[in-house]
Amino acid sequence: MLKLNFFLVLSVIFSGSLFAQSVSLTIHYDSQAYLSDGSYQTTQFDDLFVRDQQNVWFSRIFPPLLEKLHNNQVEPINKHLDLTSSARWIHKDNSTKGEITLKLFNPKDRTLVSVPKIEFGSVGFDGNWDRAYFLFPPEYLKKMKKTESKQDKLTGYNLDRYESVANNQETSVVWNRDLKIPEKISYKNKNGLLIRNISVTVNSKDLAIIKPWETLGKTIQREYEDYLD
Amino acid sequence: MLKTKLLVVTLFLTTTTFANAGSAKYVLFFLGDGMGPVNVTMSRIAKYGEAGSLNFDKLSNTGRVRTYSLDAQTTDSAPSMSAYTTGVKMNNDVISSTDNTLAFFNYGTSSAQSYNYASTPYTGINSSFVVGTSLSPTTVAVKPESACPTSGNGGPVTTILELAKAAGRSTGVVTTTRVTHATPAATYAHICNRDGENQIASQLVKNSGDANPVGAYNTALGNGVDVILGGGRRHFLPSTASGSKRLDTNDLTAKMVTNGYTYVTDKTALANIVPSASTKILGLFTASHMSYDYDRQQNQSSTEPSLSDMTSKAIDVLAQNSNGFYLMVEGGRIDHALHDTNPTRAVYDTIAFDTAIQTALTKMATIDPGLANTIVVVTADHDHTISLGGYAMRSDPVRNPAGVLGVSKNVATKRPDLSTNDVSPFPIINFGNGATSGGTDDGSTNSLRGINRGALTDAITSAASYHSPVAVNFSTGAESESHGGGDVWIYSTGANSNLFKGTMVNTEVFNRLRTASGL
Repeated sequence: MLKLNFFLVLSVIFSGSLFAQSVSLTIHYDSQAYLSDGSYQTTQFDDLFVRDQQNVWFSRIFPPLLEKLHNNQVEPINKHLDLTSSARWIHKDNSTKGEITLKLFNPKDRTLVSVPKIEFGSVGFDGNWDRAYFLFPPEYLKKMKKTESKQDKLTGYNLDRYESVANNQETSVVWNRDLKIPEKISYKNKNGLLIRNISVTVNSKDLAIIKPWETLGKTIQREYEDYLD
Repeated sequence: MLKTKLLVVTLFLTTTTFANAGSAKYVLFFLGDGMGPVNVTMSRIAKYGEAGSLNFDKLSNTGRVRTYSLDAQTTDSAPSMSAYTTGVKMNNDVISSTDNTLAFFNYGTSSAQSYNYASTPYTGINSSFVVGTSLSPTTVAVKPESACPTSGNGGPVTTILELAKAAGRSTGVVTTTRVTHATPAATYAHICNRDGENQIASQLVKNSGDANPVGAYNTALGNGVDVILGGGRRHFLPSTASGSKRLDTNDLTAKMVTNGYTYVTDKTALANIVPSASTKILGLFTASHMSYDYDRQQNQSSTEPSLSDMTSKAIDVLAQNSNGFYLMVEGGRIDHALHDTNPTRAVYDTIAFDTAIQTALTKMATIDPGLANTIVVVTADHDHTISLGGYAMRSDPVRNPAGVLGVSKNVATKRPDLSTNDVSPFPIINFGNGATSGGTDDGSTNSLRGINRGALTDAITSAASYHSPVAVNFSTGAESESHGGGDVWIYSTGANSNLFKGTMVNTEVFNRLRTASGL
């Protein structure tokens, strides 16, 4: 029995898709678009990303000037959901067949909003745990062409580069095999007029990470339906 | 002589008007929440094509309704439905009360769920959204408990449902939202803020035991609303029950059974009700709102009845009263899907609403041939910011099956049109404002924070999980798409239905319905 469990654990560890290291990242988003009116549009923003085996946390990192503006707009209780300011906390309960729950936490009014599964899409979550947990579903990599493997001289991480072309879009992923996270994802439409880059910086990992969902303190429990008027 | 002739003509016209008025003892009022003109067009095309017709498109009379509230250019469902049920314009969030009623916050105190917001400055007070004096300055709670003062803040105004009860007619309320939500509540409750749903529930239940004076039984309901069907058990179950939102331990469902109601919680039990044996029904099929019709249909094990099922049973029960009845049926979740900029679910709920209307028309044609004593009115309480854009080719079962839910395709080339950056197909359906699903993309992403969506295709935009792009991205405070301030359509058929022609303010609908029904 012990032997069986040992091999079960080993198979889970090496299957590569169930669990990965706990990490805290800063995700940097950068998109560039040439528009038909001759203008060139760039958009940049950062998110904090934290994960352990059962939780994933996304929250927007606001520049200080914007943070001050947001704080001045506080109402006692928001009548409507404030998605931009709210962190998304996705939890996978491995004891209940992997049931996924999603909650939004708004630090301004300290509300913790339960989102029913049917409304995941309404708040920007497609229900794909792997996409949230790994930032890029590993099964997608299998459909892409591996074009390069190398070890980062500075960090020592083993990196693989994957590429694909589909739906008029070129996609490339630099995959960190050790952390099971993409270091960089690039999307470019075929004529080069639209480019989106997503890159990550590792803040901390394993025991060093601070889990935001464990430091929420006193919150107001609300439900997504409470905001539908 | 001329004066005499004029008098005779006037008397004749007056007599003629009154001869017609009052003949409709059966009143069926259908309210598509948020079902503005573009949503109607979108749903029609999705189901029947551009040249087809929804069932309510075929009703004999059509008009337009101006929906502004007393204090807002764009209304919420509380004052807009209240205008239909009472003929009085009131402030946003107020339910069937006088025009001097202010909408106090509903956040009553609760030791179980409160928090200190003294550290977060409150920078302004909307004149119609006043913090209740009963509140502690440092705590708020999430239970939907009324904080309306019991005096000095307006008072109730009579609803058409109450007039029907007083006239000895039966009454019914059917909805896909919680039965305590703003639209159904406006037919039977009076409260300064729609969010006080615990007290709205209590106002329905004789001897509810609610200690909050605002939750006192609405005696104008006499022996009670006869048929109540929808969602919202959480406001009826005691606080000890799982998922309850009540602060007290009163079991309002048990009280209703004591009051003579047959209480059902699933579609089988509803179907099994024998009208002659049950003149009073309470059906609460979900804890909160009922499912979107798309999801109800997808879920093979769903125990929820359709809106058509509920409408059919309500008519069967109510029609037993020879004096007639007033029935309000709400397609309540059309509005929610639109707030979510989710066109597919909005279409499905609109079609479910349309099907319920056809069910009612068919049934009433049997009960009252020719609808000689029946008035059927179909309208919406407000619009949304939805639009259909591009010069898209028409829908076609073979060449363009996604139709209005797909991406815009060029009439000449039949290929997708491309958006501003000349690279990406764009959807036909767009919204004026709303959330961008948390990303900084074009609002149509389904991935977290807009990590990647790829080029839009028909398959993406017609999926139930899809959310349309928005022009104005709400960043804080009002993330979901807002209501629209435009006029809505009103459709009618049956006795005196010609009263509902032309353009009218929403309060006028109440007056015309009274005239049509003799209430």
